[in-house]
This record gives sequence, C-alpha cells and structure tokens, in this order.
Amino acid sequence: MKEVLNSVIKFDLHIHSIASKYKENKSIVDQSTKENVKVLLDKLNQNNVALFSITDHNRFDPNIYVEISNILSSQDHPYHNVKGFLAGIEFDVVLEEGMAKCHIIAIFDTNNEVEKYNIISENIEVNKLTSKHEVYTKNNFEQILKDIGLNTILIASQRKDIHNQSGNHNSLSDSVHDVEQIIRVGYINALEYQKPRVEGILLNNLKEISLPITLFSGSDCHDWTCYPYHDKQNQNKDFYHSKAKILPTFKGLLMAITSPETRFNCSEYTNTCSISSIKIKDDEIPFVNGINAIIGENGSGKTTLLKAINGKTTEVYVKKIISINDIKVNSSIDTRKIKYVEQGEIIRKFNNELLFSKGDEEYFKKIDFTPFVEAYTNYSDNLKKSIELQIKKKEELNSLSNYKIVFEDGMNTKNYFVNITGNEGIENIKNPHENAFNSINVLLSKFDILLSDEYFMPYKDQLVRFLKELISIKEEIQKKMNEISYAVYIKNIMHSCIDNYLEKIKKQLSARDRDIIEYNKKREKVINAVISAIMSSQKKISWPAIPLIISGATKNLKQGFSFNRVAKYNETCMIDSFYSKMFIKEFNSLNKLQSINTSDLYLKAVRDCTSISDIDIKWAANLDKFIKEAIDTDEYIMDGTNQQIGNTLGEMSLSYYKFFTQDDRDWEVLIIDQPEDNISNNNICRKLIGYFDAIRDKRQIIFVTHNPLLVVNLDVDNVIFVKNNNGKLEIKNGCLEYENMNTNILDLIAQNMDGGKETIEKRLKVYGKSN
Amino acid sequence: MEKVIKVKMYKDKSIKIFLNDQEKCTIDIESRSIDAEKLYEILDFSPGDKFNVLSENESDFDNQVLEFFKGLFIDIANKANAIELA
Repeated sequence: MKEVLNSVIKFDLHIHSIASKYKENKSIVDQSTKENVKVLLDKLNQNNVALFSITDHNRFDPNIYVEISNILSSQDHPYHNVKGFLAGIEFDVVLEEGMAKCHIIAIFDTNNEVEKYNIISENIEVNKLTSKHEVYTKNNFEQILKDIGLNTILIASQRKDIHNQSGNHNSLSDSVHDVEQIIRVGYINALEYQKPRVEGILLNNLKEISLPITLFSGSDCHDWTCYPYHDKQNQNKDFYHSKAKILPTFKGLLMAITSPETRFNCSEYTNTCSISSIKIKDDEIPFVNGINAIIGENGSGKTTLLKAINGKTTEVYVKKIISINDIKVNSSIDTRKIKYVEQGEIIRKFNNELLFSKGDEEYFKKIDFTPFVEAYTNYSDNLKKSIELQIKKKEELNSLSNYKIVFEDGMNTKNYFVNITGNEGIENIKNPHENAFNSINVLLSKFDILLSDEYFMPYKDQLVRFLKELISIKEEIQKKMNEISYAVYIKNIMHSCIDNYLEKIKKQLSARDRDIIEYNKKREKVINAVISAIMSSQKKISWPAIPLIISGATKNLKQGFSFNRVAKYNETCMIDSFYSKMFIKEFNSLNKLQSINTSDLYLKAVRDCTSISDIDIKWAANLDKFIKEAIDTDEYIMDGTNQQIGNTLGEMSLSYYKFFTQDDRDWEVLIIDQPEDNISNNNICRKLIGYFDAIRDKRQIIFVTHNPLLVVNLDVDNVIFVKNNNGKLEIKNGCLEYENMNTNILDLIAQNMDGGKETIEKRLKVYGKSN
Repeated sequence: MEKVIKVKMYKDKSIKIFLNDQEKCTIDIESRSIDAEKLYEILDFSPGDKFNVLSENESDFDNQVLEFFKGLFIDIANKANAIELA
C-alpha cells in the first residue's frame, strides 16, 4: 500500500564511480567500483537517502547499474532506506561558443532495464571524450541525447550567482550569456548547488527574475567510503541532502521538477486526526493527510464514497452501495471535526442568502435601525401635527362667519334662577406636562440600566450627579403636572354639579325661560367662537427640523475578510425620499407642505388617500413603506486586500472557500463534492488551487472532482479512481507518478477526465515531454 | 397694549363701534346684529392687549340695545383679557 503514495525522501543525483577516473588526477574514485557497491549502498542507507544516481563524467558503466539493480531487487538486502536509483551521466558541455564549459547531469528514464543501459553506454562509447580537457559542444550533446532517445531530465550545475560569468566553476553561467533565457525556454530542468550559501544566493537570483526552477543539492561524492563527502581531503561539512515529496522513480522526479512548490522543501504533515482509509470488501484504500482527489465517471459511486466517509448514509442508494461493497471507513476523527460541503450546497445557500452564516450567527451583523426609525417617526408625527394645526387655524377663522348674534327684545330679561353657561367647555383637558413627565421617567429607567452595567462603573460618580439633576427636574415637572391634574379634578366636580343644577332648573322652565336660555347659549357660542379664533391665530406653528443624516452600517472583521452590511439610509439624506413616499409631487417639499391650510389640500397632498377619514391610516401606511424601503440592506464582502468581492455565485463560492480554509479552528478534515462548481478554470488556477494548497500540510482534504486542474495542477497527494461495475465498486489509487503493470495514474486522469490529457501535457511541457 | 372699545348710539339709532377712536363697524337700525367674524376683526387682537369697553348714547332712546351690544363686548373683552399665551 505504501508504494502507491509518495512521501518526503532524501535524494542524491550526483555520485561518481570509477568510470570517472579518466578525469581525476588523484585516485579518489579507485575504490568506487562495482565490487564495492555495497559500501555506497550502506552509506546511503545510513544517511537515509531513498533515491540516488551515479553520474560519471562523460561515462556510463551499465555493469554498476546492473549490480545495484540485482542487490536492491533481492528480498533480503539490508538497505531498506534505499528505495530507488536512476541512470545518469555528468556531461562537460560548452553551450555557447567562446564561453567556458559547464556540467550538466542528464538523468535517463531507463526503468532499470538493461537494454536501455546498453543504449546509453553504446552512444557514449561512440562519442567518447578521451582527454579530460575535452568537452562536448551543444550540438554534440544534443545529438547524443537524441540518439539515446530516452526521456531525460537535465540538471545544470550552478555554484555561484547566475550573473557571475567569471569561468572555471563548471557552472551554467560560465557557459551561457543569458542564464535566465536558457532556463525560461526549458532547456534546463533544474539547477544543482553544493554549498548551502549558494542555495541562498540562487534563491535570491531566481526571486528577482520570478523564475520557479527547481534547486537541489548533490554530494558529488567520488570516494564512496567518505560519502556524502567528495573524498578524504575534500569534505564539505555543510552539505545536506535535498528532499522531495515523490516516489523514488524517474516519474516522481519529473513530477517534482514540474511542481517544485508542492514537492520540494515541504514539511511533514502536522495533522494527526484524519480519515486513514476506506475498506471495500478486502481492499483497503488509503487516504493521505494531504489532498485526496476522487475521480471517475458520472454514477461511478464517488459521491457515495464521500457520504460513507462523512457518515451521511441515510439515503437508500447510498445504503445499497455500502452494503453491496461492504464499505467500512477507518477513521479516528470526531465527525464534528469534519467540514462537509455537499454538491449543490453552495448554490442553495447562495440563493437563500445563507452562504455566510453559521447556525444562528451571521457574519453580517445586524444593524440597529432604531435611531433612524425614531428620527423619522418623530419627524413625521410633528409634521402631521403642524399641518393639522395650520388647518385648524384656518378653519376656525373661516367658521366665524357661521356665528351671528341678533338683538332680540326681551331676551335680556333676568331669570329668577342663575343660568350657568359655558359648562360644556370644561372637558377633559390634556395635561401639558404629562408627555414630558413620561419622557423623563423613560430616561431615568435607562439610567438605572447604565448604573447596573459594569462597563460604566468608572463613570459612576458622574452618572450619579446627572441622575440627581434628572430627579430634580422630574420633581418640578411632576409638581406642575399635579397642579393641572388637581385643577382638572376640581373642574370635573364643578362640571358635574353644574350639570345637576341645570338639569333641575330645566324641569321648572317656562317656554319663555327656555327661549331666553337658548338665546343666551347662542350668544355664548358667538363669544366662544371669537375667543377660540383669537387663541388659534396666536398659536405659533413650529415646523420640525429635518432629521440629521444617520449611520446605518455594520462591519464585521473575520479571518481577513470584512463582512459589511449597509442600510439604504446609511450616511444619506433621506428627506426627499420621505416626501416622495408620503406626498404627491405637488407637495414633496417642506415649503409646499407649509401651504396646506384646508382639509381638501391635506387630502390631496397625502399620497394614495381618497378620503379625509382615511388620512391617519394612509399617513401611517406611507410612513411604514418609506421606512421599510430605507432600512433595506445591501451586503458585501471585502477581502484582505480591501477589494470588494463580487456577488456572483462563482465569486461568492471562491470567497466561501477562501474564508473557511483560512479558519482552521473548528475542523480537521474537509470533504467537498465538486469544489469546481460555478468557478471558472481561470479562477481555479489563480485562486482555488492556492486556497487548498495553503492548508495541505495542516489539514486533510478529500474531494470529488471532474476538473483535471484540481488534480494535476493542485498536485494532489492521492488520486482515487472509482469505477462502478453493476453496483460493485472498483478502485485504484496512487500519487500522480504512480504506475505499475495495471495502473498508471496519469493515464487514468488523461482517459477519464475531460481535459485531463491536455492538463497533463501542459504540466509536462515544462519538462519537454511531448507524449 | 391698552385698547378701548367704544359702543356709541347716534340719534338715528344706528350704533357705531370704535377701537381706540377708530371707527370699525356700524350696526344699523334695520338689522341689529353682528357676526363673529366682525367681532374678531374689531378686536384685532395682539398678544398683550388689554381691552376696556365704554358706551355712549346721543339720545336716550333704545338704551337696551346699546346695553346689549356693550354687554356683548364686555364679555368678549373679559375673556380676551384672560388669554394667556404660551
């Protein structure tokens, strides 16, 4: 099982044997013979080097490789850390005329086949350099590789700054004028350094020119007894082996150089909680603590596998598949630590505006509309009062012509009883201090709440002083209110007594007495009409001030995102909108409203009102409509770079993934059914792959996908191919580079994923493979 | 402001109403009536006004009519003088 999945291994592709002797002055390679291969293997084993290559100077000895192959393929060899080896040669090449030579290591894809070793050997023999100062020209070198005809990875030596062309270091920069150009065209697949400080220099060089070429070290060991050092005299104590996350094969190395960001210098997984494997009948399919991609045709059972892993097994068809295939999940994780995004879930949440909510919590915080609602309700109420007062004034003046008194002889005769007029005027008088008293009581109760709030403890003394002042004001108002109340109380008693008296008198009245009483009542009405008109005309109408601009927005910062909710009225003057909702166009300003002094104009002004008796209802309805529209909210999300995220499904999907992959507090395993849904290939490459890549070393990710970009470009750690054979699931798995007699993962991707072949070709184009 | 309302009956029995010696209205003998609108105009009220009502009869005839209208103005003046504006 372990062989199908890669791991982080050490490798060394630069070791010499006695075949390099012709170039060495000393006898440093004399012991590095076929007979002493076990010495090398032992050293490699001790140093935990899983993959190596013997790359002699312009020479190739197939016998050494055969010997290595025989030893490592035996069942009982002790070198368990040494997993694989590759055939290679270190060429001396002058790439540009007039420049110095450089060393280029060529690693061949021989698959440990003897015939291929022989092909290499024969071609080197034909083009053999005999003197140690001889070099290959670029054309010679290319012709040799072409004649060998095997897939090849070229690694150039670079032991200094790439701009240093001083010569004599066998570096690539000694042999070409423009190192950047030769790398960009893909002529060279990797650079080899030996000293750690050179790695730092090269990393800076490459960062400056944004060139993501692979860098790794090679021991250049000549004397195997001194491995990993060069020889007994030359011991680079600073040397350390490069590591890559690969299978110890040519294909593994190929995958690494075409995706150096995900394969080199990667850390060991820190995630200990995971889903370790799934058993289907007798087959156990492992999951890795990294990225696992499940691929296969529609209806192959991919979603069923996801649901089985996640424990979502209530559906009948899921239960059936699980039963037929005897599926069991090996997992050590609490299911609450699994984050599962099922197919179509994002669309559903998006349509229901629930994409960024978690239980009862909304990432978009609620806005408190109270200040706005209160401000406009008060304005509306006061505006209405002012208009109605204005109308009343006018009506009272107009009504004066209805009252007339005519002198009638005899109507002034004194009665034997006291006639009391004006008793009707003693009505329920509204206490003018009542509203103020209520308001101040409300204020005092809020003060109590403040004083009991711990937050305000530092301000207690100040608050207590304010409270005393408020209580004092309340007591003054209460005194005035009580005086009015008492007066009203007395007046009511008087009113009642007078009514009783008049009732008694009425029973004893003659016809003439009644006429006199009626006449006097009429007289009284005239007087009251005049006084009422005077009082009304003296009342000043104060028009309410337009409400100030009010804030109505919330911002919630979470995991690098800013969730913003904004009401329509936020920082906006809403008065024009208020007028247009409340009144018709002719009266849509304060100036025009101030001209309303009759009931007819009032009725006309209020929008959608057809009857005077409906004015209160219509007014309230219009106000309600205005407020509802004004408090309507917009939501938008800003990312870490303060860019607004778009509101389309694709953009929101991307934000959703970015958002919760950045929050790794509540989950350990991420399971997604088709994360590519609604996201363009461009955004998959530019963004989505980056989000998953950022957490691959910390969390386990398992997804079903039909998009090869999410397999090949994301460089997943484990591909699980599912096929459904009449209900029975057949599964193959492995890392991208895995292949054996029955399974070739890259071929499975190419054959079963739309665009899979093209995606693989694009990736391998870096390397130069054309098929 | 002090305002004097004078109700004066003339020999032809017409009644004229004066406010601070300015003639405001005539009540003729045919229609001995006055409406509220006219009364309102005669007072020409402004905040702070205090009214006093006087009467005069050029002849002694129809004194009760004069008294009637004087009494009317006195009642109105008393109420107007009692107005307190906020």
